[in-house]
Amino acid sequence: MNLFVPRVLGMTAFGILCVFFLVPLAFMVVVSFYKADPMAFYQETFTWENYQKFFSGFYLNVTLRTLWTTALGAVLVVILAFTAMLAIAELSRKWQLFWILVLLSLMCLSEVIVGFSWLILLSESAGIPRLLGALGFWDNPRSLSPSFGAMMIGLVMLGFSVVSLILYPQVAGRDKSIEEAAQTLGTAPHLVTLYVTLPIFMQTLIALTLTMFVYLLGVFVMPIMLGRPRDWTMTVMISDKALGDANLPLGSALAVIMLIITGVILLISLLASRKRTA
Amino acid sequence: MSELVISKVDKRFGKTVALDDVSLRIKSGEFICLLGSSGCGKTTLLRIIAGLEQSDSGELQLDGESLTRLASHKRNIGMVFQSLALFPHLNVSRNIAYGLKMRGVDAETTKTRVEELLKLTGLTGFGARAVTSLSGGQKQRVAIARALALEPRLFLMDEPFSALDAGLRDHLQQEVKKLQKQLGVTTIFVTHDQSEAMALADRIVILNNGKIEQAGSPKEVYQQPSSRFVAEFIGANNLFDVTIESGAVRFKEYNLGSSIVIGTDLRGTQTLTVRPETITLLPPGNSSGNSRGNSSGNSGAFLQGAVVMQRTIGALIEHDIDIDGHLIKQTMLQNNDYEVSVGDTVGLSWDWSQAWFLPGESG
Repeated sequence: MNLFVPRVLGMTAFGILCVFFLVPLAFMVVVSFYKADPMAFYQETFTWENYQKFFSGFYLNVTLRTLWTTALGAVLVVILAFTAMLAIAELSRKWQLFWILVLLSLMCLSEVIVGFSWLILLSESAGIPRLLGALGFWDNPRSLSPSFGAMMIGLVMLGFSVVSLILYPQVAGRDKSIEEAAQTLGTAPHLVTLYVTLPIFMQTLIALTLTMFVYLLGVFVMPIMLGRPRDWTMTVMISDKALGDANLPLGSALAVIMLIITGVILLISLLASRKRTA
Repeated sequence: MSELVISKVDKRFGKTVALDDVSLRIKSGEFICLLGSSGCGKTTLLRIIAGLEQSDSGELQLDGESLTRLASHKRNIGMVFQSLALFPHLNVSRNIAYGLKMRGVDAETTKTRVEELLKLTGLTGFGARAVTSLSGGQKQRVAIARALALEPRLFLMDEPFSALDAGLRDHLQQEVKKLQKQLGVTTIFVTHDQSEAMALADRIVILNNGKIEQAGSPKEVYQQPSSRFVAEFIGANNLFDVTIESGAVRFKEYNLGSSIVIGTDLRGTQTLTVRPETITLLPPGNSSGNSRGNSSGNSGAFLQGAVVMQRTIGALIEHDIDIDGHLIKQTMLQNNDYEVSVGDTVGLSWDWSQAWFLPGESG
């Protein structure tokens, strides 16, 4: 078998990865050890100062907040998408197609448009609070954003359609006789999802949660548009430091640390998953 | 050991009639095969018995207790699905123990019962294996063990061997039959494979378009089919539209014999069925009445035709014989004294005790 073409294609892909990812990454790692200089971005002087700042307390808090916020967002996205797909898979083919088209349409929307939509929906003047006020459910309606809840809604909205569309073929095409078998073996219908369907999909759901976790770590617009400054994630902080304060070395150091933390979390998850499978 | 009574069960899916006034009594310990082609309603009936579908009308009773409104998980009916439906996230032992766990059986009893079932199904030592790592036959055994774990009142099997190769299928058929006899559990087995039904069943129930065409022992449905559908569906068969007038049975212009000699008091147009293996080929000259219209009795050839096809299937030779445009199938053992070739003219005769007039088919 002639492997010339696959090798050329493989080397090209590897070359593109080196040029557009590994080189900037290496540059970022190098810069993270430079000293900040407000007049010229940085001085090429080796220092641990940027990394020491991370452990100063503030950034450590932001990091922990970022990790649990994105973890919560990822778990919510997967739970909601999974339950929605279980419900949609029970509908007629016509209605399934309708909902898939809706999800595809949602996926086409940019992060900014989704953010603005929720900004309006949660605003005091035009959105849900006003509607609740008009219906008499809320005496003194006020804007629901910026808030942690609003930011979480934004994060969930970003991942929901993607995860739903990944899950749909598997959920719709699952062997339903397994669930029927569970019923004939004494499982009440309302417990079948918990005892059988969920465990069968668990590996997929864990993989999707990890994917969403990594994806949401990098989300920038939603925390800024819908969250309060105290809800902002590390991505916002890194951008703020690198671009707003022109402190590229600190921004780079924070980015490197986030990269390491993410890598470690994924590695632990992978090892745990392998152990579970074995 | 449980007796199931199915009374006047109807089921529709939209405009499609899946079951039409189905009534059946299944005796305790009986092995029943529901046989029919795709879409005849056999799986629907099985699912209604299992409680996975609701009938539109009718009644199901198991040992006098009505099942009609009883949820599937409360029926204690073991079922093996066509896809086997094993739980892929559980190992063999946990698959078998699942039902026991759902019923709250204590761990020690569950362990003992699982070991028993593993032994019974020839899976000793496989308990810790992932079900995804098993062969087709082993998966079948796990599905059977899982369904039997709760000592079900009824044991249902929905075409469980359809995806297996012929050798393994034969082997598992024998094992299932042995197991059923050993346990004495009332069993309903769905299949579209007539040879499988013949091999397994105490009684075969043949379904067509949602109706029961015939229910009887394998011998009955084979030798005495109740309708043209059954006669054509079960095994190869030759159907002759004959006329019985003035004591003579005639097919086209051939006189097949005297109705008194044949032993029938039927009159008018009737459908006669003759199995291919009961037909004897004779040399055209070796007949008492091989020419048209003058056959005199039950010896010698009644019909005469040309061999148009011959094929060897193992120990058997199969012939197609053309009689004035009517193709007759005939089979005989390879070591038969009389050998024919394609193009030969042959006479045909049969033992009338092996022939059968379809009831209710008179014209």
